[in-house]
Amino acid sequence: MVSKTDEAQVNRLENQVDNGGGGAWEYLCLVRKLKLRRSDKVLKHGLSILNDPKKRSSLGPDEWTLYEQVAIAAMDCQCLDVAKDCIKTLQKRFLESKRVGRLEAMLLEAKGSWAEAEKAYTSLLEDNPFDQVIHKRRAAMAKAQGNILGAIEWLNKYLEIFMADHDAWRELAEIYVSLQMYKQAAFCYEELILSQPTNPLYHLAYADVLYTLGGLENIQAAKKYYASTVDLTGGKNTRALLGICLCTSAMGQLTKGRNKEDKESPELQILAATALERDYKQRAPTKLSLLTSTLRSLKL
Amino acid sequence: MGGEFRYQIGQNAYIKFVLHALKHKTSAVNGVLLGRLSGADTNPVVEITDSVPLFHSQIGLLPPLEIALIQIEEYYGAQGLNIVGYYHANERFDDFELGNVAKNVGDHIYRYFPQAAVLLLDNKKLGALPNGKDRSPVIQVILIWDRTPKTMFSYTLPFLHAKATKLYTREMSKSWKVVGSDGSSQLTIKEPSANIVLLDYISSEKWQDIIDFDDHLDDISKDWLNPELFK
Amino acid sequence: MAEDLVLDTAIRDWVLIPLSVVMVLIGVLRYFVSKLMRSSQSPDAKIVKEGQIIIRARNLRAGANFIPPKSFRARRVYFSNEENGLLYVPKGQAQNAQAQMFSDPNMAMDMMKKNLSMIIPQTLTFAWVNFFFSGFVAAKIPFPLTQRFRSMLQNGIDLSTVDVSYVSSRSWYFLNLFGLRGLFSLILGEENAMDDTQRMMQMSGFGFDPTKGLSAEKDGLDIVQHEWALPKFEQRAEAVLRKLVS
Repeated sequence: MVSKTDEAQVNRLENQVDNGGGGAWEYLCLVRKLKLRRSDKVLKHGLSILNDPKKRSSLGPDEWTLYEQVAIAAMDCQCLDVAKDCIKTLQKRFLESKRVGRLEAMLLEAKGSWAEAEKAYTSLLEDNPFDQVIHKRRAAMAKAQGNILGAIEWLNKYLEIFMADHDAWRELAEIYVSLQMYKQAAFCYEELILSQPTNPLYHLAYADVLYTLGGLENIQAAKKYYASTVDLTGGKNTRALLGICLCTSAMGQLTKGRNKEDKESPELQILAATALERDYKQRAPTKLSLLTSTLRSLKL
Repeated sequence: MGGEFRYQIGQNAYIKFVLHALKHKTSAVNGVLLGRLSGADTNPVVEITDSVPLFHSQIGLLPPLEIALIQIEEYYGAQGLNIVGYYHANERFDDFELGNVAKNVGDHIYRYFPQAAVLLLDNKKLGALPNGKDRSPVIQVILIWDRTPKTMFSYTLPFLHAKATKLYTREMSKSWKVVGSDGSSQLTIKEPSANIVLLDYISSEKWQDIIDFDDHLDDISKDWLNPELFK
Repeated sequence: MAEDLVLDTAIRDWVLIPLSVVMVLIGVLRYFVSKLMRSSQSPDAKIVKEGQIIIRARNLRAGANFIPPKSFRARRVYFSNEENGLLYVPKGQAQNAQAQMFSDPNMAMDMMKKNLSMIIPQTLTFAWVNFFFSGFVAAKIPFPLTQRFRSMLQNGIDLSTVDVSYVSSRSWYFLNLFGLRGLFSLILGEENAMDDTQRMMQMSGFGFDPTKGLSAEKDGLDIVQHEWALPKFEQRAEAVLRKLVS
């Protein structure tokens, strides 16, 4: 979950580099900082820098970080030879380094030799039981083998110790959503909101999960979180606005039988609908009629 | 329901599905299939004429799915098409199970269109596509089975080879299940050269241009109907 | 005394600048030496976990108003529960940390090394400054000071009539000592700033006492009154949308 500005920046750099405009190193640094998974591009541009000795020497000590980044990208794209070469270069430079040992274990993982990779990770952990990356690799391996419940178990164990790692909470939340364990996913998103209360993406995801859970109380809470997303994004987030309309219509259906204590003012929904229509008129006029009929059907 | 059903998927729908899966290689993707039931009573065919890519992230969440389904039904209803199925591609290469989310969406669609089909992308076949001259679609078909347990569907398909398709059907216990079918299958691609066109698109990296509903919700100026894709 | 002493520019060239340069160089040297001497720290499991717990508890306090009341209460119980709450530390253990600090030989060595690497260069530089740069006025402080500072700042200058603003090089040394921290973080990278001042403060308050941190967090958490901020957000969203639409 990357913010829109960051994503726009990365895309811009990506286009620039793709069209030969230079700036490959900045692009790679940004991808590394934001922890994005764009392995094919990273591989292509990283290799272009590494294979050019002039560019490579201009990097100085960052050269080795680039080797690491390219090795991981190569493994993701299943170009295992490239990965092996990078790791060999790193091994020559840094003998007996734990970080390189980690990369070797990842290569085993990429080849699919799960048992050997598991052994490698366990031995690395014996030396340094607090290497967070290795703990997370174990969970990733379980997920890659299809053992989703095992992955959940590993992640939970990891989070018992390192409970402030919000990447792990996010991964756990997504796994729960894919398994339709929405209550647990809601818990994870609450943790994420606590750690970064001003990040609208977490509010949005939490609201989605609450809505999916269903039930009047959850939908009311979901509406509030959609509203907070709207507030935090200045009303520009389409999903939040649509979420508000969905919530209001769902609440209307659920409270149909009950007495009409209209504590909820209909203002919010009307405003959301108007904002949506305006936005569509400006940026997607072909879809405006679809939107209006959707909104109409929601106002049942 | 007692007839035999054949499913025919149009080239555009098929290609959109595969390109969508290729664009998001690291996550699961899904989408709906649109079409109509045609053909005579003795030989009914479900024609899948178009598909709409839906999501590539957080597939299990309800709100975007509801909005998407409302809009799609609205748009295609005006053209006389229904939602006739659902497609799904799993995140992992060797995962051939139909996940719970896919099953639930399939159930939902089944309620409105009893001949609904769920297509699951066969990753291995997709990987082997550039090598062989395989004309069969790179999909596993998962279908509803007739409620009377003894009836077996027999599908004849001139183009399909044995291992291409796995038939998932839905038993009395109301779950989508694989029923092994060898030699006979029920899914054709309408245009026989579809796989060649697909290979061409793959080599030209056309999958960058495909837009799904997720992209649309992030930036509404992107059109999930993909009108420019095949021009 | 309001006479204005005119200070020779030679003072600036030969005293102030070399002194600063020398201090920067010594700082850089010290940084590299400390990197070499740093023993690999194997963090204690308990300490790591407690550090993370503290971060999480702090987040809970900070963001309490953003999650529904039920969730907040559940989490608060999870943290402050009498039997097995994460933050709950039985009284007996609280005393251990300090004793541990002294008895554990490794830790004692580490502290010694850290302190040494700080004390020795400081002492040497100070002695050098005193030897070479004493006995004359080095600089003028731009704001007036009281007489109390005379003994500190004018150490080499034995004239009692000189205004306190005129200081000796010793004060320039102290100024550099505290002020070059920013420069070091620029040169040596964010994480490795030689923050002597922080170390000195740490020396006085002896040691990192995690258990105290835990009980402090627990108290803080118990105090928090949950006030769900979300209903307010609906109104704020309305206001935002209204502005957007109008």
